[in-house]
Amino acid sequence: MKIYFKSILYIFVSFTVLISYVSESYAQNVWTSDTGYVLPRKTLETGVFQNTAYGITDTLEVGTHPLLFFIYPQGYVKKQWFKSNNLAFSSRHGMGIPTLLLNLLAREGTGGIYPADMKAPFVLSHFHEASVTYKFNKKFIVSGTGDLNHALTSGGSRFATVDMPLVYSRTAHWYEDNWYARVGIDIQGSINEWITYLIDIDYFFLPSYPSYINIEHKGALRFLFKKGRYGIVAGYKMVFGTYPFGKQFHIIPFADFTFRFNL
Amino acid sequence: MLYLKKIFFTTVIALSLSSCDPFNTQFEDTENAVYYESDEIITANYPGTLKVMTWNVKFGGGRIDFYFDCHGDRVLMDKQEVINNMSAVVDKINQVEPDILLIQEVDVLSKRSAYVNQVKYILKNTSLNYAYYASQWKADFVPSDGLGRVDSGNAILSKYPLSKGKRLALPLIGTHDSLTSYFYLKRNILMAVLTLPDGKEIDVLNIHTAAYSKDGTKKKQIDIFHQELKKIDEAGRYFIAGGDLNAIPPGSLKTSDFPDSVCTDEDFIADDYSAESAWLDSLYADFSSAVPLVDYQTDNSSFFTHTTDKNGFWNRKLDYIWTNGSFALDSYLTHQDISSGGVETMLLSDHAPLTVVYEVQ
Repeated sequence: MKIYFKSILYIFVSFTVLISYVSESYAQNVWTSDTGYVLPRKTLETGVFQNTAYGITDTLEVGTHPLLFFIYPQGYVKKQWFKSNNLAFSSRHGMGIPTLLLNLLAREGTGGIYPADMKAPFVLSHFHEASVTYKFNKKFIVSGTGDLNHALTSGGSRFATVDMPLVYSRTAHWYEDNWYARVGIDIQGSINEWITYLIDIDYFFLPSYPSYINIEHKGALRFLFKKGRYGIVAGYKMVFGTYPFGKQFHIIPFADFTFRFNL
Repeated sequence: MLYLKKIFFTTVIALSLSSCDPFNTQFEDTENAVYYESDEIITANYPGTLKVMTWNVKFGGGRIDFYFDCHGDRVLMDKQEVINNMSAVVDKINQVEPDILLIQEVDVLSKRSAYVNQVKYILKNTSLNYAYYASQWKADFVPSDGLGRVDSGNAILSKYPLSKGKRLALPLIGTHDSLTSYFYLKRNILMAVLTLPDGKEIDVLNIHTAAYSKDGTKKKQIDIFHQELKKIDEAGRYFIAGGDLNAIPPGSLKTSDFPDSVCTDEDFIADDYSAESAWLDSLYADFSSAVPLVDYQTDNSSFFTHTTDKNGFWNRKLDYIWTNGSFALDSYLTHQDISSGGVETMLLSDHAPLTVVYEVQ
């Protein structure tokens, strides 16, 4: 029973890490991730898998994943620098130390994402992102985003990459390349008062891997309840990417439950 | 606009629900096998007989002590290790010069073997020209023991053209929970048709049955193998069939408590064959074995093909070749060491190769 519980726990942690890559923060019928918007002041947005974000002021948002934080200390600050009726611009800056999480996932048996005989290096990752959003009307916005991700590593044994969609493109720089960049476009809108949609496409660069290509596309619907305090997100992610074994295409479904509070 | 929204809405729901096999681990009951051909076809001199070889090559792992046989904790190899091990495997194959090679546990796209396609490697470095491959363990990512991506299985390689390659799924172990079963090995029979220069056709079959089943799954797999051979026989066709049956012959003196079995985890204990001694009876009764049963029963140890202990020696026979035609008298050889085969095969895999000469009818 104990072993079974541990297996479930490790799978949950792995799944949470994975889902956190596709979940988005949301505010006022808009996913704020990859947009020029931030959460409104004193608004807390959380979910089962996604990051938790909080609006400190109407132009400043902070976020982390509270469950993962103790094994993967990480967080970000997002600052909105400009906002007019149709245009918004913000930047986001964050860092994380995944070393403990990596070593936790290096284990025998179920949930062993890495071999048990490997020891993770110390990794300090940080990213810097800029987003701009243009609102065509109340029901339709388009955003452009670019970010730069860098990792400082030290020590550890030879450590394996995780050759999976979504994960490899975001973690390979911990082992091989030291940095990667991403550019993307998001389209968001509302179908009616209680259903919104998101379509995005992202392109990843790994500079020291010239033949590397990774394109991700996401489509998601969000069903809102209780004036938007509760939400169910369901969608898919399509990934065409380069891995150490070659190129591959994946379709990955995902879902999350989200909660929003005005504190 | 409303029309576009409806299309998007339907697309999201459909795509969200469509990926019922997100890690690509599943197979149909019957599938086409994967075909390979050497870049350079080497014309073989056909003498009217066929040298047949079967070998479980342990995914080019040589004698590295891996976690699953409990002698070590290794999970992944680097590319140089795999190439070094496969080079030694290929040297042995080239020494034997088989016309047909039945190979088990060959990796084509696995992280543990540094993504070296071992079927292509063998084709490139031997005089074998054609191959069919059937995966028995495939997953985009196995979230256990740090294995990552796996595509490993069985292959039939030949100097002569192969066609109609088919993967026939075998029953899965029934005692696994659904999560384990989803990611676990899916055993199969790989079948292909060999066409000789004179136009004659021979069915070739390769099998690797379950090693760790405790619910009779291995027996079911062996019985299905026997039924397939009977079908071919009754259809008036000739076959050459073999592989790693993970079962010992009737009349084996030692059936349990093998000294190399050091696993304490029940899932990896596979050394008690005492209740399985008759499982191969029907195969021996209906078809010709490369090593006749009477020869094996006279001297078990000369025909042993397996041990997990690199410091020990072969201590059980798990590998076989059968036919409904005929093998040349006394042409069999279990390549155990220098004195029996000319090479120290203990260093190359946890199985020894078995060869025999088939007389074309």
